Amino acid sequence: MVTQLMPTPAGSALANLLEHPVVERTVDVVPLIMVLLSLTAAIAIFPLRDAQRGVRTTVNLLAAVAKVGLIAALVPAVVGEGLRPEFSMPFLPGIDLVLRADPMALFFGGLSALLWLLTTIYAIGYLRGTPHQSRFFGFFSLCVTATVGISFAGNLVTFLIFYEMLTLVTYPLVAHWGNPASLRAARIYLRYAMGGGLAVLIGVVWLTMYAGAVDFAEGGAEGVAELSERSPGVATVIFVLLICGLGVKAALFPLHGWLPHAMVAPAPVSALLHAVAVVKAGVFGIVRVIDDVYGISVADELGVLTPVLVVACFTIVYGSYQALRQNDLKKRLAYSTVSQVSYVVLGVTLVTELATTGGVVHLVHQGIMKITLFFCAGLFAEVVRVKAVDQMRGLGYRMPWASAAFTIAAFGMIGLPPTAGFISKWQLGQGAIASDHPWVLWVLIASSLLNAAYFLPVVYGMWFRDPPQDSESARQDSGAAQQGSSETRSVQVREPLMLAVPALCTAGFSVVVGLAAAVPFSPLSLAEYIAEGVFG
Amino acid sequence: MLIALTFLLPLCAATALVISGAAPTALRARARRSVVIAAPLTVAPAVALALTATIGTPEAPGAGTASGGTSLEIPWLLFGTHFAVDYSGRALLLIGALLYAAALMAVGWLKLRHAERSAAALTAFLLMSFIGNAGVYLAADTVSFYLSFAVMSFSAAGLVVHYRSPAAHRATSIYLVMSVLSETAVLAALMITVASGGMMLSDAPAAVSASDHTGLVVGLLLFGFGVKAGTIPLHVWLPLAHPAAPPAASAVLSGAMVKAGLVGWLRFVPSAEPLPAGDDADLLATLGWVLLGLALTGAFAAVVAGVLQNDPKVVLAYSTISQMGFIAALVAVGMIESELRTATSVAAVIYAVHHGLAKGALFLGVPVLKHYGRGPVKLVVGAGLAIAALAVAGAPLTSGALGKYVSKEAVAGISFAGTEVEYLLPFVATGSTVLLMRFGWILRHSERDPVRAPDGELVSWLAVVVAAVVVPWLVERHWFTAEGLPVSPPGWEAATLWDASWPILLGLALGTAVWWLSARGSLPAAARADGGLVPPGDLIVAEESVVRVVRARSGRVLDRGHYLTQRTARAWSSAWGWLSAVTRKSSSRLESRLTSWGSSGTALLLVLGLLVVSGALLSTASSWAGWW
Repeated sequence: MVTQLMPTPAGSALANLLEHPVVERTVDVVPLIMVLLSLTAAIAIFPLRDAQRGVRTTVNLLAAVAKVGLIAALVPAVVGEGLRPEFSMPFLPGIDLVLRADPMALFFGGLSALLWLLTTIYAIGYLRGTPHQSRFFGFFSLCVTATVGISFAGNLVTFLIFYEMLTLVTYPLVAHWGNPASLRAARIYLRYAMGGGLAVLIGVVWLTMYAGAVDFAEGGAEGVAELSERSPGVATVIFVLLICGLGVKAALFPLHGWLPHAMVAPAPVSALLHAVAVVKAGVFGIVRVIDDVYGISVADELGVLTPVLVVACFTIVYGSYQALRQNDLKKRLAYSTVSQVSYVVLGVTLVTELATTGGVVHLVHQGIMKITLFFCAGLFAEVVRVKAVDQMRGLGYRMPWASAAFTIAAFGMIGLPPTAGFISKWQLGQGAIASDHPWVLWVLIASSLLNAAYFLPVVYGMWFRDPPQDSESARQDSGAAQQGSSETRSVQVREPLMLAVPALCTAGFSVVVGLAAAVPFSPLSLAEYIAEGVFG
Repeated sequence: MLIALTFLLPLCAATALVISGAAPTALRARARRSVVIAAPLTVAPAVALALTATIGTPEAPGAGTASGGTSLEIPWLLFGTHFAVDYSGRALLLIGALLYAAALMAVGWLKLRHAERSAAALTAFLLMSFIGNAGVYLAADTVSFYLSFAVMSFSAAGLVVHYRSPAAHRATSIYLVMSVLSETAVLAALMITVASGGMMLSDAPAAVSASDHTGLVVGLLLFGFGVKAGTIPLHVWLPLAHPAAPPAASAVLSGAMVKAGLVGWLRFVPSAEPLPAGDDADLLATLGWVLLGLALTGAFAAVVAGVLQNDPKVVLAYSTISQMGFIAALVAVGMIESELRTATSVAAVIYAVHHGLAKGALFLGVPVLKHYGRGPVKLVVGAGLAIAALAVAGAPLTSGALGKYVSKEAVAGISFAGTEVEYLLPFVATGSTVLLMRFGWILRHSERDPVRAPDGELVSWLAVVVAAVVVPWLVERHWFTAEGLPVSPPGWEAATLWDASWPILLGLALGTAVWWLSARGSLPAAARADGGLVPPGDLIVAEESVVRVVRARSGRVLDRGHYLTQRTARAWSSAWGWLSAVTRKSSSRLESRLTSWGSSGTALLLVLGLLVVSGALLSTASSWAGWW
């Protein structure tokens, strides 16, 4: 990841620089700049005509690169020096809008910044020559604004605002193609998300009534701790409301129904939706609520974590099982997301430091692996019109690069070493064994088996099977085909660079992040740092 | 340094082969050809490593690493990676490297017109398997071990599927299913091991004994590595994969890769002894007896299944299952009797060294006989094959005699089902003899191509034959006996020679009798040796049909389940739809009523009236309250 590029020896010089009062104030504004950056990009893009491709691309890429740079600059200050740059402004009486860069925020923000950059490149290539591009990229930028807001939100109310904003701005993206299927999917998505949003709203308002504006704090907010001591019943009900509301976006069973429908969206949208924006926003919210609002020990004492754990475990197995039944590639990937995202929930509800590390790190790991798979699915659909799993045979010969990226990401999903998925699974497994619920290990094992069952045959077919023939002619000369199958393999097709390069980048990341897991500033070490904070 | 090169050189070659795919066609062919030719040399660091490595403080083989020897630590890789050389790793690495080099030569050092189709892909998969295989021998921590094991297992799929024939696809599917099951079992076991403090392999057996789930972990380990080691009933992939894969690949599969299962057992499975006497110790001993039973059953049953085959490579695959049963029996004895642990481990490694080379020579010999089976060179080929076969059978003075003798001494005193294991093991040699007679019979009647000029295939095979004769003795003398490990090499007395000879003579007699009977036609018609009575892969055929039935049945049950859930969901949504329709209708009716003058006036009057009445009631109530 980008964060690894930051040199560590520069730490002390940086510390001196950061203590300078002017710099200190500037650092405080960085979270706000991050949000405004994407917002400005959106405002600049909306009025552009579709033909103004150059301007739009420039604005998009500039904003995306600037954001990656800002995050990379923040990491050493926050993780190395322990700074917490914070921007706040009054919003309602007694409630401030707070944007704060804590390690968790940077972790999620870094993921979104990096993947946004790659997805923007991909989307520019993907949508080339289609109408309504300014609308698309405008909402795309707004979507990222909301995601950045969610990651840097410093209290529940700020979080809620951006969370609701995300719901609204992703609707036009899901509905982008404008055909009946997309409109229906978008409508279903909106219904689910609004319902979830309502639950979160009630929960937040209720909690604010009792405990005041709840600031996210490592180890839990004090007001909430008092509340749960005074009236555990109310605290439990609020917790359930929040988790149910957030569980809609996080696609926890039985609130996952919208996700497989939403895969009709354009590939870059699906990629972003599944990897960072919507699904991750939900699960990020769950992590925030458990770790930074209630605090893991308070939540554990309330006894609310085990039910969530059970739901997460069921979702993991159920999602994998449903994925196994799908023939449509994007649908299979969507159900796989349902399953994989619950790893994060599973990690944070196991109440061990190892498991929390595993859960948090899976936020990033799942993101880069799943975005690769969706990039590849988009490539297959665009270049060779392959959308179903059973058409993917022999793709390795026709589109070697995309197939290679897909293979790496699929191995990651199964959790084979040395990919990122293995690191998550190993951490989660260790955490499960150390926890009060060692049986969770078998859920992870079962999920690996199921993942292998629905990804390995695809990968095997891609590389080792001959492409499906056009039925009639193939049946006639099947004998000939067997003798010289190398001749009947379709020729290699050109893979558009703007689509293939982002896919290869994320595939590369998912190996690098796995291989170099023990390096300082790797996602794993950042996640360990966060987990330490959570457990005090 | 050498450890890093052992992995990096083959990795570079494999990467070059992959990257060359991006080059234009003409360049690609040239680049790939040169990498394929250079590939056998990339194994050289591994050989150098095995020959020059020092081993730190003397420790029993199988007990993981020692400190102070040749080792490599990469703290940033994965969770922190360690590699080191130990007794068993060194010996197995040497033969592994020799076999892979020979296989790569047999694939690459040929005239272009003789080369396999897509030799580049085969070479790349061989190189990746080698990296994984060497990693399994050299890994000093659990995660690197698992990484290597996985790399090896999945790269081997590419070897098995190489010919893309329906048989190859079937074999690969079954291989992959078994491998995934094995990987998963191993992963679960390793996770529990690490959780109880077994991150380093040297601590692993102790951690397994200390764990709360010793029985479970050992069970998982026996299953997971048993798949690799071809222990019945997990052996089913072997008789399918070996004939499907190119011969060079079969040689490394049988010679080096199945030994990874043995290494896994040696590295992780504890003995019953260090445990306090009690449930765990009993359980471990029981598992040991189960493994011993399965191992011995496999050692003998594989012979029966094997002689009924008519593909030479299937026969060899069954011979491997039988021989691996022999090795597994040694491991099992080590589990049961911890005093014998070191001796059986050493014996197992020496046996594996011998078997790897001899079996590799036989596998590589199958195409060699096809290509050089005419003219004077035929005599050389025949002699080489005979030597390798005699070694596998364990004839006196061969490496097989060494392996068998060492093993017999190691298990002295253990009895199974009322018979001393020591007396059971020689009969494995009888079985091997019968199997190899069958193998020779099939080869004698096999088709031969016009003879070629000597090339890499012949040379590499000859090298392996020579190694099979010499290397096990050297390994035993210099790397085990000289290091003071408990080995008892055979002497040259007549009694020892006779001990090695009688099982083979018995086998010869048995084989001849069967041949004579079948030539006279007095065998039952069903016992045809064409793979008809016992199809290759034996149990898998039954298992496949069970899976098919279960799949159909459970599919139907599940479909019914899905139908039910769908109906519930539909009922649920229609209930909501009805409710919303009712609300909508009644609210719009209310709305239309209220908009008319009269009704809204009535409503106003009604509300006012209610207010007045309630106000009056309240005031009277409060006055009553005041009065009271």
